[in-house]
Amino acid sequence: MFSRRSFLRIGSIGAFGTLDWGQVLRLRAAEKQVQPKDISIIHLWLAGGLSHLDTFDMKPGSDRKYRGPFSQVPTSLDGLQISEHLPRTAKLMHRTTLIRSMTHKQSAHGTAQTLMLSGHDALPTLLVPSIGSVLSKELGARNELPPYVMIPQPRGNNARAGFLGPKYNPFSAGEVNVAKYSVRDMELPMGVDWARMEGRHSLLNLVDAKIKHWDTTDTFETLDSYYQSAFDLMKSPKAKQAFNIAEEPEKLRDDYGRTSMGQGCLLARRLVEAGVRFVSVGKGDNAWDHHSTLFPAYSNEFMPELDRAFAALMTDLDQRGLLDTTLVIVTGEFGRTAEINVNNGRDHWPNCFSLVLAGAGVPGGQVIGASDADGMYVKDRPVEVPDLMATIFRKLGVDFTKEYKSNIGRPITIADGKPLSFLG
Amino acid sequence: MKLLYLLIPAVLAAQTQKQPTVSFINDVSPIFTMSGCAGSNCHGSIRGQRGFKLSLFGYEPKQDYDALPTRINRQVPEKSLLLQKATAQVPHGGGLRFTPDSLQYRTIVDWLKQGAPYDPPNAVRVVSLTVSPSEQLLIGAGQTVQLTAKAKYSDGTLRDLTKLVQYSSNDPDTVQVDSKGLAKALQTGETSIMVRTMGQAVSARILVAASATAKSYPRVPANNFVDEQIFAKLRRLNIVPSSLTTDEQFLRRVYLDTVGLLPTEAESRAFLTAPNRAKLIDHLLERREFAELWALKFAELFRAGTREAGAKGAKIVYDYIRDSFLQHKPYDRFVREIILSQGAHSFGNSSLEGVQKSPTSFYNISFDSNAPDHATNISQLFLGVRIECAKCHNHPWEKWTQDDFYGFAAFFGRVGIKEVYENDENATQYMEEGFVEHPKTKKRMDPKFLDGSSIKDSQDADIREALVDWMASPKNAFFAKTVVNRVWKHFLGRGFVEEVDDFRVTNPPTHPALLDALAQDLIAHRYDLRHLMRTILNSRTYQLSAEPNDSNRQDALNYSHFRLRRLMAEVLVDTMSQTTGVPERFAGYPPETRAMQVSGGGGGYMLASFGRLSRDIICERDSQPDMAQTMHLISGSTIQKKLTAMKLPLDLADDALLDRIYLTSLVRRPSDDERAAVKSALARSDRKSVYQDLLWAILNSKEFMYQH
Repeated sequence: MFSRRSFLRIGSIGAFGTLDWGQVLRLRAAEKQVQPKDISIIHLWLAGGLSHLDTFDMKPGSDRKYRGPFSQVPTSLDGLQISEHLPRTAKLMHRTTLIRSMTHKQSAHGTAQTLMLSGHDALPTLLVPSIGSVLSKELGARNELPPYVMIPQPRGNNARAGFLGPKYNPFSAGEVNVAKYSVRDMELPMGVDWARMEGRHSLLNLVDAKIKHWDTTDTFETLDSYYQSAFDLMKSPKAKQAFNIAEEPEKLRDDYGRTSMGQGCLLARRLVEAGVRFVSVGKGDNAWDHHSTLFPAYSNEFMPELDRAFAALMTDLDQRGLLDTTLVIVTGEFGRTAEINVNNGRDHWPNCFSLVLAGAGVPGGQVIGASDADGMYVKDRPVEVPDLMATIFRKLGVDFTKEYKSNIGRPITIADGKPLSFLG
Repeated sequence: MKLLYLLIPAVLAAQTQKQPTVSFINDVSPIFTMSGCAGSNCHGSIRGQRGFKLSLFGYEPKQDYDALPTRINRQVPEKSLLLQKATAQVPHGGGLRFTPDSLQYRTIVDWLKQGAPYDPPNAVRVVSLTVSPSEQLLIGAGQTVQLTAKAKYSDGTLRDLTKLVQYSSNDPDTVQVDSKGLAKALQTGETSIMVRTMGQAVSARILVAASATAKSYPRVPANNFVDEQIFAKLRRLNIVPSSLTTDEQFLRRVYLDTVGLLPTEAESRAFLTAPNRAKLIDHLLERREFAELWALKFAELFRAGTREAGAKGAKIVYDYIRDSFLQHKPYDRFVREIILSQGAHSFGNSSLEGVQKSPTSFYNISFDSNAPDHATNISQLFLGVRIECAKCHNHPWEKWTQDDFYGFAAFFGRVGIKEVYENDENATQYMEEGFVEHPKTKKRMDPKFLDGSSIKDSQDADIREALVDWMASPKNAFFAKTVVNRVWKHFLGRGFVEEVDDFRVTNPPTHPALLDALAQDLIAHRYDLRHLMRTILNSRTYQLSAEPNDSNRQDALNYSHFRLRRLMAEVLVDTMSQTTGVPERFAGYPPETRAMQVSGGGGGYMLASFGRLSRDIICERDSQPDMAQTMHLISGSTIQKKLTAMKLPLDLADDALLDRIYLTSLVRRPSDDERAAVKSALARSDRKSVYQDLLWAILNSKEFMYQH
């Protein structure tokens, strides 16, 4: 077993961890060719809140009341151990940056999700836009595909566009792990060709003319834009193909896992390959909110599902040469309490948690920051969410210092932080 | 003038003539709140910050006192960690809170010099906090008002705390407030300023009008007291309400809102020939579909049919609510029956034939529903109070504590679920034994009302009866207001309080006096919800046009024009069926069932996509549009099936047919442009296709999809 000291040592090595110099050079060379506008994001969204203490930041030496039943296993990064239930992921840690010192102050799902998806604290009177919505507005669509796709669908307002307007809301792909998956309503009805549909559309505009000016928000305008975007999408063979997961070999689909996250990640890869800028993949709802019986849920379902999906995604992206242009982020909205509660669960804990990044020039083989002995507080190198957001936006070539005027005229900077140099 | 207690010659100075003392409770603890130390995102959070935990906004001064020993130095007060942190002399995550030459600093030093005592048990305490003015109209950006905060103490004395409380604006973009209580208008609108100290919170409402009431402001007729109050406020704000709806607009609106349907061709022609709005309202409130609409709304709030209760359980509850409305059951009796319910859930098989429909599965939302769950649901549903945060910790913003929560839960300590019947049948049973204990103190709780008084449980009685008596008592502030707020939102699109079930000091209503008046009127009319609805529906406020004018276009809070809102998913599907004459089929329900009659969860993709809830949590429906909805309207099966199966009376001449289509879908006549467009299409294509295309356009239109 590795001592806590060895973790600290990793944490303090700095930018390149245990990469050999050759790898560094290859990374740098690859980075040079990548244009920011080519980068996409796949966001493994563990809504509900991932327990850092049972996955990426275990504390085998801590008190019984804090310690879960899982063991650690060595990883491909010398000196680093993670949970035994993430064996595939363990083999890839030399390709990732693991941050063990994420910290914020929002301990409710809603406000914490707003923060982790937007970089802003939730405001009582204003809905701030999520990363995917900002990218949609700033960078627009590529190849007739919606720029921002959510698998399966958003819950509440946190993953949405807020004051940017519903036009920049995510496109819901639905649950992918079903027989004969397809996006609903992508085909014109029987007997209706595009000429006829366009005739219908112009009749619709005529009927709408009567009360159009009654809307004092921009809802009607947004609805109009949805018709145009929907028509573009339905007309595009490329878009249809991107959603056609059945084209993938059965073997590969098995590798990803026949689970929501597994098939979701595979679809996400197809989508970024085809031009989608931001794909969120989750299990739906606040599935990771384990206030009770956390451990059997983790070992039987949640961790194997995440492990397969993440590892298969990383490998697949790499083999297709997409890892240099795809930023993969694994995170929930917060971590979970060190203390195991009476129901054998862990509660919400934003003060210190872990987050994994890979691809798009993020150096491999780094462990950044450290938590204290019980994983409650950040001991070294706290990483704040606005800084992470600034980093992400900079990677994609978005001027994160740009100010939006909200619907009530209040200026909101895209990201209020400073880019983190260790993320490349 | 160097000591706080000299600045404000207050209560404590009077106690000991020679040496006035600094009180921890009244002088020191408030500093933590006003300086931001005791906020929920800092040391006031559930688990504190960096090992130092204060009670939120100074709710529990003893707890704060007990957190201090390692952070204070009585011998050399200036060396106290508390002061070094607050003045940022040592690194502090919260930065500089006050400087060494501040009053706060000197007050704490003086208290430390006295030996840092806790107040004696008989020391005076704050019993209430007031802010004045409690409401203020400001004209134009830039105008200011100085707020004054006064506390009343247990010995009857008053003290001005204006400079010692914490101020915050609910909407800092509309009105900002500084640390001394000076509020400044930034833009037109309204909001509340929260004032907090020592566990107390009050608010002041600040309205900002663009300009003073114009001399030319029109006289707007009022139909009843609703209009008097709504229009009085609009006049103060110099906002002119929109004009009255046309008869056609009113007809469509009131049908959709009361019975969830469009008027038939015959009904429309009858009303438009002899329009009598009040009579139509009376008629609609007696229709069966009216009862069905409210059955659906309440069944959804009760989350009927989740988990093992399934579709059968949901139908029992739905039928029970519908019948309650059909029987004109007063709202308080309806709630009483639900809360006191016990016995078989009656959704099982043969052994229960003939058992009366009852809502007993109300308590059986999930297998492991327990007293705290019931407390959470019942307080939110019927009292508009979200006390569930107090389950784990004292409420972040309000006065609810864990004692309050578990005391309230104690009313349900004897509610149990028993699997006493065969065939998966369950029953809610009111047991002889059962109690709720406080999770920290392990104390067995006495049932406690939300007003703070408590009673003893007794084996001879159903203690829930005492609860419903208290709930429905005219003196209770929560019960009538909550249902008024829900009903008001149903018809006007926005509650006086939003969210509708989140009444708190820090979330005040937009029209407090009107909310009170409607609640009192409901009580005076024995909780007859039809009376309340009749009052609202007959008001000119409800009957205003949705078309804004130049003066009210920006107003979103004051009902100056009717608020556009998308129709409920069920109403949308049902009116699509009506317009095309092709009913929707729902799996598991007989043919001809309307969406409004789908009593359980489910109901198909269109309903779910347009906001029907899965009922696993209490929440508002989400009415934000998204592209999946649009794609379903463009090419989805709901509309396509109807257009294919629809049988139009093609024997009618085109003008007559157009008139009929428009009357039965949009409740108006087609415009000249619309007529011309259809006729020019008829010259190119076959009639059936042209009319299918027209119906597609109408069913996709905003005018069809939205209540207006």
